Amino acid sequence: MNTSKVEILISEICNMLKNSTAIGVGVLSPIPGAASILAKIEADDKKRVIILGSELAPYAPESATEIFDIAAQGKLDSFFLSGGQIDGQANINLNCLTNSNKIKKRWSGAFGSPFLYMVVPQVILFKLGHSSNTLVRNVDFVTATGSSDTLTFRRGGADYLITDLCCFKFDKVKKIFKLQSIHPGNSLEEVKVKTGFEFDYSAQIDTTSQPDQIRRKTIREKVVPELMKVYPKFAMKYWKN
Amino acid sequence: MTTKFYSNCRDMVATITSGSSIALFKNAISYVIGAHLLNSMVTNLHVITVPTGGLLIDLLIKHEKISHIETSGISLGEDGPAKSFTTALEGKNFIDSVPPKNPIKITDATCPAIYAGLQAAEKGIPFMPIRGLIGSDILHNREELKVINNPFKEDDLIVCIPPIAPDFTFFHVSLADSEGNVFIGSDSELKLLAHVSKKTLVSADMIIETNLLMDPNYKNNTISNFYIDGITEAIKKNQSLILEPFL
Repeated sequence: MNTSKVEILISEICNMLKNSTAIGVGVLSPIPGAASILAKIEADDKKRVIILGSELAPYAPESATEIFDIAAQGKLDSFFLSGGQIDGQANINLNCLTNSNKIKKRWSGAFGSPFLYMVVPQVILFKLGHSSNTLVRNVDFVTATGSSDTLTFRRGGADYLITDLCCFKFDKVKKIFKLQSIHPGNSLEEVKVKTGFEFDYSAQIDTTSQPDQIRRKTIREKVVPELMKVYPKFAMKYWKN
Repeated sequence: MTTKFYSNCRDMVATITSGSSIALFKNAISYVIGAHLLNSMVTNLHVITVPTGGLLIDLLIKHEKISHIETSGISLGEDGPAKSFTTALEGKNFIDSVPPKNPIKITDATCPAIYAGLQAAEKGIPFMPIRGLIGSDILHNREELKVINNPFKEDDLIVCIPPIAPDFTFFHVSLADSEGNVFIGSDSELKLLAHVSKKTLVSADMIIETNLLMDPNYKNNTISNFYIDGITEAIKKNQSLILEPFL
């Protein structure tokens, strides 16, 4: 993935955050982190962005439990989740791949996802490495569920799924993703071949918008220096000059 | 004062016995205590990560100190996956994943559930209810987590987390005093851990004569020596420096 694509993802995620005042970013999420920082800068700092794993102000949480406590109260508007697998019902798997009752591949673990997915009104799913092995019909292990019945408390859940190829919007009623836009340089055919689950799409599909000159300048001059403090390896990889 | 001061960290670590449960807070890992634990003969530990773990946990697995890991996640951050952790589990039984068939047993958790378990222990109550988890295979695989209906509202399911009361916790702080009080800064979760653990062992960059509980700048973020069992003075070193021999 080149820098231009990374900036498109950052810009598009930033657009999704326009109605959010309090945004949480999990560990190892540099692109959502960058998008959240951009959203905060564009809102003249009138957003609170908490980045887990950051020890520096203003992104460091007040304490390790702060994000879970404010999320539980409904004070966290948006959060990002990913998974080794994501399925067509927006279930995510952060634990393991299984085969005949054995663990085929083990990942880090759930972190806060089975909790945050249920209590945060807007969850944006983010997945690089869009393929039929990662975007599957059904996950091997449901770390956090994409939808719930009426007996189960849930404030919102999956809103979007953005990948390195395209952006889906999740229809919570039909429990299916709908293709919203395809990134410049990618095609519907490619998305179809590389997606393991069924999804809706219309005859006319938008191309994901690119950041304009002003936003691109903001990313490079204001977001990247902040990103250097939180995700230095990632920032160096894409904007080393 | 019941706090014991150790001039040698090894002697303090020798109080940790095989088969103990140990809760370790991710933001205040003591690498010096961890290195002595790696060097010790201790085995068969039940480690609870609060709420996640990194390099030290991975090395404790690599050196076969852990028989049961209870965690919301083990990762080396930008350095990638924790290979000893993932290798110990891959190819093993998914259900009934217990020793001796598997090298370690895993209890998958989620961050707020670990905090809720510690809070239940701190309050002395049989469980702490939390939102979320319903529909997750983590809940499905853990019989000790119960789903009840909210007693104050109809048709509102909620998960109950039982208490987590570990035998030990250990962590590093910048400052302690000669009375055994330890300053924890913004890591308020350390109070919770010290309150619920049977034994709390601490390494501190510096031990000063001034009583921290008497100083208004420190007292609010200081744990009373009532909860501290052992302290050793040891300047915090970079984890890659101190844990390198065990990589």
